[in-house]
Amino acid sequence: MKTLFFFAAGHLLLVPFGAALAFHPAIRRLPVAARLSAALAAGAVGLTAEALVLTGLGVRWSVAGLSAPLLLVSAILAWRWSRQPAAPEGAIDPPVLGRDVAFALAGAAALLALAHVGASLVTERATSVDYVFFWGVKAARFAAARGVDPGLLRWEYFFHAVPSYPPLVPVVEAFPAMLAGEMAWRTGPLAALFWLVAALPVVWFALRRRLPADGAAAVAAFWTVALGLSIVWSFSGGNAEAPLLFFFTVAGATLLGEIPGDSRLLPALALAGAALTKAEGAVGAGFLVAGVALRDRLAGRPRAIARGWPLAAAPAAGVLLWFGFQRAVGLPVGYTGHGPFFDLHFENVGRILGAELRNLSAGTGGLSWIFPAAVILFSRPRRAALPALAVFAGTLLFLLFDYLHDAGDPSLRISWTIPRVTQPALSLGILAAGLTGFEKRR
Amino acid sequence: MRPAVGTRTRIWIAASFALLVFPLVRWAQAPAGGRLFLPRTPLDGVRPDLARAWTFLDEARRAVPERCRFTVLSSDFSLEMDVFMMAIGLLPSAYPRPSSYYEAPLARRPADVEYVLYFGQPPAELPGFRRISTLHEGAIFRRAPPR
Repeated sequence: MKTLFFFAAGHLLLVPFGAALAFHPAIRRLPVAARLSAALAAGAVGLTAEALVLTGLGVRWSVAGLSAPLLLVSAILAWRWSRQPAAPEGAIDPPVLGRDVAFALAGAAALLALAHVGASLVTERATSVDYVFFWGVKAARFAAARGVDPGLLRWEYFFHAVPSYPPLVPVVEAFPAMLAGEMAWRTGPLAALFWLVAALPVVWFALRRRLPADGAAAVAAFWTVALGLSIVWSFSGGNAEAPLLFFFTVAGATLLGEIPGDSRLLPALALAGAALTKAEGAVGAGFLVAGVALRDRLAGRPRAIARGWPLAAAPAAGVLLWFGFQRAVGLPVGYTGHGPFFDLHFENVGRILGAELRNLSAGTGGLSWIFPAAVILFSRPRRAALPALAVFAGTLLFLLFDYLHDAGDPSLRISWTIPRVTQPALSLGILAAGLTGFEKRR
Repeated sequence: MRPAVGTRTRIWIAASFALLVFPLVRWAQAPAGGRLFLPRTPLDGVRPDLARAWTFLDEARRAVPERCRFTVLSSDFSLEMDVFMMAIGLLPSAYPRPSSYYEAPLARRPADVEYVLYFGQPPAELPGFRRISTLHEGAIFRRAPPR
């Protein structure tokens, strides 16, 4: 019970760590729940950046030493930003909850899905084995070492833990472990439910800005059910998939639902979080930014490309921070690949593409993918879906390139990875389908 | 009067409930005793073989000093790497020393190992070590003092 309390407290404290963002003029007009999600994203990114800097400077972590600077900076920025005028009136419409039967049914479906996720995680039926092999292991060791332990990451017999993976999840999970004095191994997988629920306010807000209340509720329900079932199906409890899904969804929902003139501070910060969570996060961020720029260009929005650069700069800064840390502490700089870069086995292309598609079941016989794909296919205009399509196609191409490095049959590795790694693309695909599918009603 | 629910909204909600049928079917197909249970390890529902190893390590970590130097052995050699990976996290302040790595035995067991955490059916004797504890799923050996 004690570890459960500190586990929850350690995650909830991320919100005050990033609370300043909730007072930023561009974010202040969002509903309270969406502002809390924004603060959570900022807190997680801020804690990770601070943790890396402290270790890089040779300062040992402590609960107070990690918390105090973040709370202080957050308070100062919140005070400054709250004195500035909010975003122009009318730029962000206040969302209205629907009260009809559609809203009740959508809510029921979403709650059933969340109950299924919670029950699966509590009964340890959705735990990622990687959680006990390395994600949780890194968190436990970092907490015990009071820092991102370079000696551990350099150790030849820690190679299995992929030391080059970005550090956000181990850092964020080490913090509650330091609070509790030990790792909450049994409750750790529940973090997946926390990140899923945390993305919901932003999903709802982005949809509600563009869709009628019943339509937004229906799409948000489908999103919750599809991603909830996928998390369980892909055994994403305790690994980095749910945080990556959170960051991608916050960025993608905001960008897909944006109205010209909106600030891009929140999606930029979320993409930095994605880049600090997994190597795929940086790759996916690149495809998302390219898709957004292409959509804006085709829509004739002014400065379509120029407005994309700050979006790309944020995840690049996240990657540079991690690579800079690696360099500062004497680790090999960069990500570890699955073999020499151009040692590709093209004879496997057909087998890989087939296995990629076969493993897009998402625990629903593929219906989670087929339904939004059909909606996008039969909708006009489809331009709004471009960023989501860029992430989907980009992710599959990136993975194809990765799997081509396997000399043998990569089918088994594909069956392990595809259900997890494609979740951000599924999330954005559903949101894009919702936005394009209801476009005519506007 | 409230507006009627649109066709598209109905389709999306129906699709949401259609998705929920899939876990329901899986739930119904599960053996009655396996639907709801309180797990003892993070792996009970996904890898029962590793759950046994987890239980062993969880007991073992209470029986050795926090900052000891240990290695891991297993009577089921194919599980030894898995047990080693988990042990690094379950004993976060200790100094792990592998006996094998990815199913390749090391030429020599590290010389400074103080404890051997043996998962599975332990041998009667382990040269240079003496058994100090027998657990449900294995045993703990400590380096014997030099004669």
